[in-house]
Amino acid sequence: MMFPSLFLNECRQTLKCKTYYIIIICMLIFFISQLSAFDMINKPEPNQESYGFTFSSDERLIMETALQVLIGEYNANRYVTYPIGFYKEVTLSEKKQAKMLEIIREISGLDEDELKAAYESNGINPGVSAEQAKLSIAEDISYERFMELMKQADKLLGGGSMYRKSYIKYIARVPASFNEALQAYNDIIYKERLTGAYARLFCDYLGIVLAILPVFLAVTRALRDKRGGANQVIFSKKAGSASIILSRYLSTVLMIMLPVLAIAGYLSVQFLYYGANEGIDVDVFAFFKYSLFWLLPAVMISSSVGIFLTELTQTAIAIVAMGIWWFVSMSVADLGGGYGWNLIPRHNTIGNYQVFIDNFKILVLNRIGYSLLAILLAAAAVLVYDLKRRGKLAIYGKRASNIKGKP
Amino acid sequence: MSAEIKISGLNQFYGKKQVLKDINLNIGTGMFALLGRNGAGKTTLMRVLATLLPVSRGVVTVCGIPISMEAQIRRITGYLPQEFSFYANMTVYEAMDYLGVLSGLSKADRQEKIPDLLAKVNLLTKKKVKVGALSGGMKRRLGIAQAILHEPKVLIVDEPTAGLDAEERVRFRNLLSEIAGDRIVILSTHIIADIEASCERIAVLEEGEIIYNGTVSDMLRLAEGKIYSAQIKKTDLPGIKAKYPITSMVSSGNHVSLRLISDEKPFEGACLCEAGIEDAYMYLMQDKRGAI
Repeated sequence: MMFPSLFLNECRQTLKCKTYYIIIICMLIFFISQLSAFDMINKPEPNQESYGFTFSSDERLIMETALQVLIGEYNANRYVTYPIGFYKEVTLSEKKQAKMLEIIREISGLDEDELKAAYESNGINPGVSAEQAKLSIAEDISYERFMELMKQADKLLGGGSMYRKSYIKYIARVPASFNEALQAYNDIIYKERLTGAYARLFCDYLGIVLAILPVFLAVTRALRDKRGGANQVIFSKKAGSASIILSRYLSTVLMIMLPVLAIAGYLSVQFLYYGANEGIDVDVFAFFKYSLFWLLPAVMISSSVGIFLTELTQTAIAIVAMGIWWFVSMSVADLGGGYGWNLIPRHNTIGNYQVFIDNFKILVLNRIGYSLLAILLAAAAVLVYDLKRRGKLAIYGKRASNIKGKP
Repeated sequence: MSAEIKISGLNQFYGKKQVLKDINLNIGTGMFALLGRNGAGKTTLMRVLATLLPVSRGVVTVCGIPISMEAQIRRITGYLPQEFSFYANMTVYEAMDYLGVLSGLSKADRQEKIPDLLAKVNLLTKKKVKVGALSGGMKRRLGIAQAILHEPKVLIVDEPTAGLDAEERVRFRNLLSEIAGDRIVILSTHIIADIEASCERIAVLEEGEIIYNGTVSDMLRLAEGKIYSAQIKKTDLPGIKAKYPITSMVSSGNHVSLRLISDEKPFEGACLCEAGIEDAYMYLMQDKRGAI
């Protein structure tokens, strides 16, 4: 009976922790700023002026569009990037601009004057294709070489540009047909029962903050013994190391998930009401299912990194470690559903069901993999704690059982 | 299960530095004091007994349980570390409750025992006060309350009176005597008055070695016939200090009243007197150093 009591006690302690409320506020601010009002999908009707856009997989069109965008940005020397998922405008030095020009020249086969002339005389803008702008792709350039050049361009811009590998396939937006739009609509309404598609977008955004915020709570909890000078008293108690550490870990995970599930509940009610009005059969549990499947592993990882590294080092180094991991994950994330092994799988569109299905297997492996890693890290934290408790682990040459903390 | 702590051939190292040398002790029920200067190795020995340090070499059993069986030892021991502190933002009651959970007490047990114990250590009126707002003495009393919450057979108390004012020290000593009962209570201290007032058995630790193990009265007997008191002129003090270990000294005008250790009458006017525990301790220390 010790574990349930310890677990409840830890939850109560979390409720008295300022860090916890700061995390909830951050989460709410992020949710409200990004997701408070969803754009609801409408059924496409024949002869509509537009059915939105879709992404072309035609390599030549991708190359032409990328070239057109790149020349536009080059001429203005203002490049749009999203280095960690947030907007940033980059201006290059003369030296780097010269390198960028080399890249453009290799793709287009034109010199600088020809490029400027083409740009100015044809008024290139996103609605005008390279062909219309009389810009052509060099005949001898392969798609592989083009991708190498795009990688170089992205590197010059510090990453997160439109030329990065994960984004380039979404650069050639083409108008969607009625049939394509209807298919997307039907997928959302019938296969995803509306909420499935929106729950993915919810997870896409919340996953960003939930991959980093829990580490703060875990570190705060783990450092509390040292700050309170409570290590030796707790070490000497009957409770097993597994009970002590796992009660802290699981309470951290639960207390972080509670507001997430509360938001999921709030959205479910909203969609249920909308579905009832529109005659759409809504999956009431989609937000909960997606939260547990998509977001829980991120919370588990962030918390376990926090608790493990803090127990190991008695410092807040876990925040730095998790921060670096988060930064890298955000930088390489594919916004359109190429989940891979990224800690923060992104799916930044409503719908796009086929991409989700195509990548579902890897997403499942990804989430299970991170959950297992989190469990391993939590187990390692138990081991570290137990060794410290028995005076068998020295930290900076000092036995943990001798570290008094602040009296 | 024998109510005894047996320490046999205990040698303890921090890296290559030996901090305890061939310690042999049998500690039964009642108050047992471990006396020694700061750095003598008392805290290391206490931590070994509290299972916070692994035994480097030697055999230690607590009530028949080998010290390597930490989980079982922790069930029957209560530990008050030298600098007891706890989460500053918890109230006294919450801290006791949390530590009670860690000691494996049920909710009903905690609800029954915590108020009683807080009353015993005179903290019941402070149960809603944050730990961070307690005085040093109150924290120490809270420390002893948490250490006996699960009614341990063995109570290990490391330097409990260090840093307390005179009144708190007396209170704390009385409290310890009161709760000792049929427990084994091991108290480490460098304050001799703590022992005189409360302990029957004592071990003196010096540079990691036990230089005395026995009763307080036997220790007093060691110094019998070797303690002299005298009143001397202040100008004679340097010469006497160089020749004899002084155990106490009080200045009054141009004169000094002192007590010193000597195997024979040191000078005219010095009178043989009854040895106090402080004299006996000083005698032991001087004997160890070969100064007498």
